[in-house]
Amino acid sequence: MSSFHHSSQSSLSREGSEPIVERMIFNNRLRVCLLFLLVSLFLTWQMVTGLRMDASFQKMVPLEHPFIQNMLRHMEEGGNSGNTIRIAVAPRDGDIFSAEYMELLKQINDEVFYLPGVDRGNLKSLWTPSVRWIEVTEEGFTGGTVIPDTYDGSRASLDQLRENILKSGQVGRIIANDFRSSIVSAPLFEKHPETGESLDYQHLSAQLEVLRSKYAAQGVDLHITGIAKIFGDLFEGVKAIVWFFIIALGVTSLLLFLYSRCLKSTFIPLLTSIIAVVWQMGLLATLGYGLDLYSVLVPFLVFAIGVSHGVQIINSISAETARGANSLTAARRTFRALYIPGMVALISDAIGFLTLLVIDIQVIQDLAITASVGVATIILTNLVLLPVLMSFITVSKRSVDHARKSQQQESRVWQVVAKLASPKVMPVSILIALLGFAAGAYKATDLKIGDLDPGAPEFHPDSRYNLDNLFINSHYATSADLFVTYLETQPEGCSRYPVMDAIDRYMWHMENVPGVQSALSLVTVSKQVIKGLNEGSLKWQSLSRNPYVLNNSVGNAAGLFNADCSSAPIILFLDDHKAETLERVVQATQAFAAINNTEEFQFVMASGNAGVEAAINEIIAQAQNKMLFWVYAVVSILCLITFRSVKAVLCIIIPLGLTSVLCQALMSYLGIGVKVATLPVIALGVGIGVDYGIYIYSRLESFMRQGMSLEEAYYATLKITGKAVTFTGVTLAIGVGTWIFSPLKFQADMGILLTFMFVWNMVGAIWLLPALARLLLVPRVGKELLVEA
Amino acid sequence: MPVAILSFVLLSVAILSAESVYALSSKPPVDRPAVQSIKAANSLLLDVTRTDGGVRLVSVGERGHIVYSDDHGVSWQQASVPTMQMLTAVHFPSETIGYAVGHDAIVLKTEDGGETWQQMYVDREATVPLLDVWFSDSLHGFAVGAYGYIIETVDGGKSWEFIDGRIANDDEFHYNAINDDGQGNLFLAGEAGILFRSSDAGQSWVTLESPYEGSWFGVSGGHGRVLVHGLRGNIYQSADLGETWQPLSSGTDQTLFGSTKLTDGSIALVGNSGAVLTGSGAELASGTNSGLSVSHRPDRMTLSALAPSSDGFIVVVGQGGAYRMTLEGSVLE
Repeated sequence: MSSFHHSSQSSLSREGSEPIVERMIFNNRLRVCLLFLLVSLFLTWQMVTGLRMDASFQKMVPLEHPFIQNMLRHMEEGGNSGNTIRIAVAPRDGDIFSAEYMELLKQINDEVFYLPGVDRGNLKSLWTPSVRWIEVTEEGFTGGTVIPDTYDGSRASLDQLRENILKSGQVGRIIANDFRSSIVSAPLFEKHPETGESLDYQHLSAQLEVLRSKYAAQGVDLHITGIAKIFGDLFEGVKAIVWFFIIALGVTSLLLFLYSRCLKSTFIPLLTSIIAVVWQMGLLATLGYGLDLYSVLVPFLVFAIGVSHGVQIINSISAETARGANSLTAARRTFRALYIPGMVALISDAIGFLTLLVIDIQVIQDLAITASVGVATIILTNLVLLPVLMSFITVSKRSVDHARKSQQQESRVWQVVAKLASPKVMPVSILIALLGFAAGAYKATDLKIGDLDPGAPEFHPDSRYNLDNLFINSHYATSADLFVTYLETQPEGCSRYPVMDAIDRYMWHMENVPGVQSALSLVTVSKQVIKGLNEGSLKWQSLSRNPYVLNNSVGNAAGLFNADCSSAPIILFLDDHKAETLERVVQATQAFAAINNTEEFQFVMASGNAGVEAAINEIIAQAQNKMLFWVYAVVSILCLITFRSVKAVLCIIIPLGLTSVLCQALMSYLGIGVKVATLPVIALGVGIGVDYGIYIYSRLESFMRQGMSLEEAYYATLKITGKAVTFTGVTLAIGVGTWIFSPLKFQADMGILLTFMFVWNMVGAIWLLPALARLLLVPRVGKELLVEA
Repeated sequence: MPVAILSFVLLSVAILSAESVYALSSKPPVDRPAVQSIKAANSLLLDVTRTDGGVRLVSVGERGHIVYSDDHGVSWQQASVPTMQMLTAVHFPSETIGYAVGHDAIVLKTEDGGETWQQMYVDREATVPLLDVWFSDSLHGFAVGAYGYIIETVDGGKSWEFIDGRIANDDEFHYNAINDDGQGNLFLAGEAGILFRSSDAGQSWVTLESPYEGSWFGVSGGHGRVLVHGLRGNIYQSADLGETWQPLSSGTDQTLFGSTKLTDGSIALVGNSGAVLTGSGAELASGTNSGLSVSHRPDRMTLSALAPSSDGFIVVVGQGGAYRMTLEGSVLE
């Protein structure tokens, strides 16, 4: 293979004309190398010193969405942010009523107390004074700490503890329903009120792991949940990425060697591809971007794309050498032939990625920018530096012989594959494609928006975090899926009767929505307090119309209204965070608000993990079709510009469309929803996948122009590009395929889907494109054959 | 009870100012019909009764919920109710006619065995909850509530008369319970140990000397005995119409909110933290040993009332709705 698609038509391929760019580069080879070295050193330094792992919450949510805006507004007021670590301490044998357990629990309580970022005043466990029992007596209330003052670990004091726990109303909250574990609940400061320091999730999570292993050795298991732990585990999971990269690097090197049969030709494209990755990360650091959990995928893509373009260069150089050119001439000819078509291909990748900018979620936009920057660096490293470096070395004789042989020899494999362009095979292919479209589209109708698995969707269902989460969910009376609606009113208004009554009715309205387990707000507290003030009689567990009583009753509802009582969160506990559940909750809230919102007070959505997901789902549902439209529009236009033929566009785009539909069907089959992680997959897959079609089609067209029949032309095409296309497909698939083993579920999902997209786009280009060419480019022949059949 | 009076005054003033704004923004819950909900039988229910001479069980609770069951409490249907205010008590003097009372001093009546209800009385100004209701027949009955609120009707709820003047409750303590002993005597019990008896169908009331200073939440009578129960597991029994009382050892210090006499003369009580007490009639009659055995619902949800179902079990109501239980106090699924 000597060049990309444009070369045959391009004036650049003519010997003798040496464009300025080529002269500039190849007359100053050492200076070019030095410049690359300096830039690489600078960007390496930038990368090492400046590149952060960035898991900022705000980047993962659609900031313009009204739910998120409302949430951020209320979070600033310092209401209940819900950022709490919950540690269920479970003895391996027996229940919590043993002296040893209580002693260990006390030690754990004290250690958690001293963890950085813990709001010590609001720490809660059996050992904190805030956990009390209350009893109504003739004189009023009496109560005390759950652990009796006289506690000495004796059977009698443990029995007293059991009595107190039953009177405390904390069963299901701090104490498990089965009395076989109890919780240490530690609210966290996002920003420390004194030092102003932001919470270091990674550090906190690591310290919690230390606690976990320390106490596991002493016979109690810790089950830890909370947003901080999720972030901590995410950082931990991301570390596996390094191994994936090393594995991808190793496998790719091996393939590259098998392909080129030359150590130098293996090493140099790998080096330039790694330089591309380093430049990309250095540039990101320089531009002030970090790598987040999604964009860590991009270096893999950049590496794989770099290698696949490197292969074209190596191929061309081998071919030129085989024709008898020396190293420098072979490199210059290669550069001349490839730099424009290579640039077009890479720029079209980048533009494909940039269509992700239409999605109003910053991580996705950052992914678009990161990927575009990465692809841009490949233009320099693999289209410029690589040929320059290759001009210094001699390709091994084996490699040259290999290239020469494959130029001359007929290929059995490609002869068979070329039959795909034959009029007899065409109708079969088209029929299969139509069936594929139909089956895929049918299955894809089940495609769901959002996260479908219980627990933290970031992790696999059997991950440590999700097992801990399941433990707490099944032994305590609280759900992990929270949807928060805010009641907004004028200052000092939140405890007024009409407001409280509306909240009360909203809560019942929502508790009747399928998927809502229960609701909690200051009304809940108020009713409990009023009941308590009336000797615990359930007949008083109702809002009082007496403002004096009502005001007093919410005094203890800290965190359930803001400082000036102008807003109050209503927390809905949901069965799950499936999109349908969230939609029902949102719709029911909207219906209630439409009737009940007044000038005096309004119900607005939303926060809580489920509220945030509802907002993300809405954005994603809107963005999904918009993104598909843009990405297909952009690649279609690029193809149209390149080939000036609508038929060419159809030949290239239809296989991509089939892959996209099948990818959606696969998502539906695997139970992967459309979410932040999987939405970009189709744009990335199509942006990169279009290259295959372009390589093949441009060759095919040029051979047909030379007068070959379609089948001959396709055989010639395959002989030249077939191997490179399959190699590219395999390289890309390996680059992202390692992700399937990521401990982070969303990365594994991305890995599965991208691998599928890359492989199927390749298959589609090799298999379906010639059939479409037969159907569209040679219409009369096609018809005749159909009639015959 | 000075605090009660003070809050009464404050409340009246505040209500006048609040009401004007309130009327503009929304209807108060007392005037909104109850929402039909499949969760009604699992919401907070406060009283349960079996229709007089019938099988049907009727239970009332928060948000205007009235549910009825024709299969001994296995399944429940929600009645059509014109209020979503909390309902606290229900009584059926006949198989078809019944009365329910609740907050905002609302009184509801049904003539079809509890399926549809009409509002007979409401006192929006007082903001007083009625806490119990008792009818001697389908026309004559009493509704009692907080701050000494007591009203009587003789025409099936069409008109009501305050009868607080007949009772010496100057401190306006809450009346928590009104019931008869099956022999023509009425007992009225409430806050701070107040106890009254009427032997002339409520025309005049005698103040009884209470054996206990804490609040009573229930009174049950039958078989020649009357029994009161209340705070901290206190149960007292009298065989002489309340002139003298004997304590019964309850075996618990949980407040007991509801009680019922079973046909065989035994008794069952329920209360705080899911306490369920049952005792045989023979042992009770002996007066020496209460014979009460205590069990707790495993989930510790507080229970408010109970009624015997006609298939030999009991139906208890409270937090989490209605449950069928055995006489020994274990929950039936």
